[in-house]
Amino acid sequence: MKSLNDEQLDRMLDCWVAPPAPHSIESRVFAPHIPWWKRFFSKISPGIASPTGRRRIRKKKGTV
Amino acid sequence: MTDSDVRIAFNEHSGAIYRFSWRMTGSPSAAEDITQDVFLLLLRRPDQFDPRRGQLRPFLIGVARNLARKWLLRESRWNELDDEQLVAEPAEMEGRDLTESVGAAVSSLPATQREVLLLAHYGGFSLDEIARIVNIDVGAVKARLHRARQNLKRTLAPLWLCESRGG
Repeated sequence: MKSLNDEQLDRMLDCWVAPPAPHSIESRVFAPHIPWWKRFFSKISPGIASPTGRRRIRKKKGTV
Repeated sequence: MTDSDVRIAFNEHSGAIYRFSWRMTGSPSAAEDITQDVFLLLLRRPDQFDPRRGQLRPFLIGVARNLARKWLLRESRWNELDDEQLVAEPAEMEGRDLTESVGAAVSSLPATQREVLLLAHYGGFSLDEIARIVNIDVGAVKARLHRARQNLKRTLAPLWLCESRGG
């Protein structure tokens, strides 16, 4: 069974280039008008930190 | 560590963390989330990083690695039991270009082998640093790296022959 040597494998691995990180991450991390805990929890569950999200997941009055 | 230190750290290390997470999960959106969470942790709990215990990049990559592992477990793609596996799942190569085929071959490795290979080849970390990041001993790192490379040498060999023939 054919197998590559170390140098050939390293050259092939170098072909797999990852894309650059999107700029949007920086604004998500350092958004100055939103406190860090709101940014942290809003991604986990919109209902925890976002008033809009909370309204969206709250049951209507009178429903079972 | 102040906010401005975190911003400097972001400029220096976010690319490496994103690329590691992207290669580990195969998902651009998961890689974005992981990179964001790594730096939010640094903003929220700067005391978690102790410079006396090592450099910042291995620490941040360690956090990213744990988040990627959680993501893979949630997606049922973390195959820890296959750690000893010498032959990776065959990757689908047909109809793919070289870059995609190499990516598919690396992605088909068991996750425990894949992370060690990514940290060594693309991250440029030493065996000692990888051992600390993955929380295993250096001997286990060497064994996993050897198995990962053996797997890839076999799965990528047909592709090398095609490329060298100009096919």
